Amino acid sequence: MTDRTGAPLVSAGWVVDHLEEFQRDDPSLRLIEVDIDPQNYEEGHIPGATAVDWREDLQDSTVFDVPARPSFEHLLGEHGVTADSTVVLYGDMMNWFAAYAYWLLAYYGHGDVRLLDGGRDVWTDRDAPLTKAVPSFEERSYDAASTRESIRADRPDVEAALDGDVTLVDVRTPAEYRGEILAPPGWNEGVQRGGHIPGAINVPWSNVVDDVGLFKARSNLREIYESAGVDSDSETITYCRIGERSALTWFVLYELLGYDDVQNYYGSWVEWGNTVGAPIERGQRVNVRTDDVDGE
Amino acid sequence: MREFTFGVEYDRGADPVMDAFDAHTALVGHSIDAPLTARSFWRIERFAGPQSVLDDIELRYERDGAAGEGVTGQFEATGRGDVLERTAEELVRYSYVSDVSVGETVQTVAGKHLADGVVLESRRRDATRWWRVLLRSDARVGVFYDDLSARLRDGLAFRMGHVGDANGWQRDALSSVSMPEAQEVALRTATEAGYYETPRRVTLDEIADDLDVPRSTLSYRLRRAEIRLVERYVDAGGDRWGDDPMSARN
Repeated sequence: MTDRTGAPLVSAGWVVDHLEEFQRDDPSLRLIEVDIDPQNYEEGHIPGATAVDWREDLQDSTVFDVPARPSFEHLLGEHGVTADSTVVLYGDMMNWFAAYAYWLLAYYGHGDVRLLDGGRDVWTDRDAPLTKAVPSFEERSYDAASTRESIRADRPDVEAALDGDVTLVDVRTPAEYRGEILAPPGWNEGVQRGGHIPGAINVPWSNVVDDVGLFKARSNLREIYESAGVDSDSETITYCRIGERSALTWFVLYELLGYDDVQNYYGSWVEWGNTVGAPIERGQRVNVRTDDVDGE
Repeated sequence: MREFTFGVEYDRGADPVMDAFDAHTALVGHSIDAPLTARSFWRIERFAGPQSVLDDIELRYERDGAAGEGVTGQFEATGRGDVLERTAEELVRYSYVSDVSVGETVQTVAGKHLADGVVLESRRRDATRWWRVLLRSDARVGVFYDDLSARLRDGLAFRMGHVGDANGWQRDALSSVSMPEAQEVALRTATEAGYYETPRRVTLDEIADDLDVPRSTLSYRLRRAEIRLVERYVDAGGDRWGDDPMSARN
């Protein structure tokens, strides 16, 4: 579990209770919106929230990698965040990019970061307060701690995992997992070859939320992953096309279910499917359950 | 304009309306859909098929106007509609689905992400509903694809088509003509064998042999099929666009 003082997930009710604090120019509590569609923030956002653009701010623009330390520190500082801040994140699309931002903050060793359950959609569904006013907070100095490589996998880690007892979770759509789609429409994330990393199981990223957008109950989540063969005592690596949505699955396994060893593979299929010689499996993997479950 | 095509495949039992299409290969549906907001849309759909199946579909929509719309596990909305046309083997329905409070449909996900003015076209046959989304710009196709494929409930599967320049409009209006299976088989077999080429690549006798039916039976079936197509073609755009029928009374 992340070393922190509060729970990783907060409710809309909790945010409502702290609205006044979010609007104060006080680094102890900060609220940040991360959308896939930046226009959403402009149309209305939670009072006190500032916006981060995933394209500009959450990836390195020169090298295919997460943002470099100096840029990340500068970004957080600009948003009035210090190393002691409690940062609450939320966004559209079931918190897809908000969860990725969460993982990045965790990777850079930030102490207290939380995710708003249900993100933007649940907030707007409940007619909770929205504003178009863009707050301006004093820029602070942010010094990142050392990176936590224990929650991040790179290609050598995945290669090593192929021989061992590591569970690989592919969170993409079944059609991409099977190799039927090489170039997901609308994204510049096409690959030379389709399929999945050998041995990976497919649990699409959206399985973790219900139709309203809230995370499913923990017992439900545990069941979903255990029946897919992802156990709390195995080492797990999550991946998708680049490593953004798999951060949401990482969040569920590591933060909500408390699995000890979960890494998110940044680079994911865009790296693997474009790597000369990297082994690939296609089609649907049939999960063989090693023990019979009573009554099923 | 650009277009994005894809299919949604339904397992048997996943949706009652699609089950009807799965059970009756002669049943076809062809619709135009227009999202109004992220929670409402209208549709005009033409169903062609056996009379009893159309009766069932009409009844189903009367009972539940939003029948078969949702692609998510839970779906709640208000559906209203009207029958525009009903003949023995054709049903044309107008639907207005609004107040979607829980869940999503292909149309609502499109309404959510794609620029105003997006139009969808769908064709249902057997177990698949093929969609064609006409877009002024494909800037948000990626998000639309990811959101939609993430929402599909168990029993529904996404099939990729393509993204490209929009090409034509309802060219295949004739292919949604329904006819008895025997006539359809006769027509397809004859076409594939080259009967309609100039010069004909095959004779009626040869086709009749292949299908193991008497020549006269084959000839009859082909003629019936041809008449159906001709009548539909000639009727297309007929009096519908003419003078106000009311004025004819004066």
